[in-house]
Amino acid sequence: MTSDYTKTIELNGISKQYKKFKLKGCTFDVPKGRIVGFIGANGAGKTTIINAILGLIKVDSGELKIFGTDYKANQSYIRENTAVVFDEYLFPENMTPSEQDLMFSKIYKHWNSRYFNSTLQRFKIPTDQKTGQFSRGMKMILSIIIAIAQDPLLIVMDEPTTGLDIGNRSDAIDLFLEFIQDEAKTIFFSSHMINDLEQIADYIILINNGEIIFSEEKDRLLENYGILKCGKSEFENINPKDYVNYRNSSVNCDLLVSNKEKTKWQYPDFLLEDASLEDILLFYIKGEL
Amino acid sequence: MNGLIYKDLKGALNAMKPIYILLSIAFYVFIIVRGGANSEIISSFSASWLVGMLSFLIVYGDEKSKWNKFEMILPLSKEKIVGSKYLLQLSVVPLSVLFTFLICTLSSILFVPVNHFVYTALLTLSFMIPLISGSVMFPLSIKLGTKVTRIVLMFFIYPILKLATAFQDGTFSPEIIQQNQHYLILGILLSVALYGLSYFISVKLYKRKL
Repeated sequence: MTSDYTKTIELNGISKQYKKFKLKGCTFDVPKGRIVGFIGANGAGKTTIINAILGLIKVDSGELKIFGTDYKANQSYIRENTAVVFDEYLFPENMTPSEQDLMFSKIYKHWNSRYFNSTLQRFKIPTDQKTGQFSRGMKMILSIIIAIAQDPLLIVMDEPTTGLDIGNRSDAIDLFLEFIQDEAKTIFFSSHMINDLEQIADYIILINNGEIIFSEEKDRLLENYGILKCGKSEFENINPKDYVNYRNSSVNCDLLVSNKEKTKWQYPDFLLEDASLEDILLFYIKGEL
Repeated sequence: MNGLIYKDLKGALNAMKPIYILLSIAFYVFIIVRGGANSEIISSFSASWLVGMLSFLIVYGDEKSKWNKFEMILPLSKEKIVGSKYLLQLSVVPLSVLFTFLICTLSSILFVPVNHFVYTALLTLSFMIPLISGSVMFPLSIKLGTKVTRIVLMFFIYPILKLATAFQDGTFSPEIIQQNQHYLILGILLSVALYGLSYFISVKLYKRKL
């Protein structure tokens, strides 16, 4: 295996049918050396995609490559270089972090014991206490430290900051930013916490009802998307091709547009505001198209 | 694989609080002292069964803490992941034999010496019981989960009790054991073979899929 790939994750037409849910030909890339935020409502398909990336589900069709290769060809390389932080603590609660250190050093080839212990010390996580006695915040920070100490090329995280208080979330974000300093490393990060993603993600992928809506650079998204505000009567005169989605209130109508410059020129009399990531997500999920 | 064995051993040791160990010792001493001669038979069988259950408890603990989900993404082959559980179970077999030895010794000191042939048969069975329970438990828990396996393991109590009764009521008298000693060796060989076969079945059944 060489490291001359440019896309850490490549999904091409991934489909998976469940009884009540379907992933519909999902296609996107996760560039190497970036933090990619993966957003969508509950049940949109985020965890299913993550499980597919981790090789935990068999997809019905499509192609999936990690580090430019697939599980069949290089399973052990992919697993050795991919760390995972799930939305819950999955480690034995009757072990102490010191014992975990010894255990993982025997499992992972590149386990960085020095990093593990110094980071625990930095976050004041006791090394000799059973982890079952830790708060949820401490357990999640510990899970993130365990993932980074594996010295992986890719960290996949499924809602790691959900339920954390502001202090723990800030600690987690610091850890991600330190990890990503090395340009060979990539983070793929699903979250409901849009603020966290706005703060650290380079790219945003939005999934809705099992379908990838967009995969864009975050700065370009914030630069291009806007909210056009108009009255209900004026809404009738706006060409549906000029907006992505709309939301109605009792008196007026808000429209999400994907090209602010063009809209400004087309509809100079209307108020046009910047759209935040949260606005974009809400329009796609709760919009009326 | 060493890491997984370490995890399971450490988990078992951390779960064994001194008070539980003291209570267990007190329980067995009480059974032997109160039960008199022959009480070593039922004590030995129950101790072997309990030792056989130890690794089930570890598998159950993994399921409860959801470690088994994390286990699926470890950079280890499924032969190693499954193999670590089998090695752990194998490592507790001497414990079962040791318990039987201590129970029989205590009974011999307190009452009449345990017959040499009965002694040998009990030691042999204390070796076989954890192996057989592991052979059944691992493939079942991999395929069906620990909830179903727990119920199946309960059914083990019946044959173990029947066997213990057969020793106590004289069905397996020292003379009969002496005449059929070769079955003890055959039993050991069969339980080892069953354990090996069970490992291959478990590897085949183990899936890294949710």
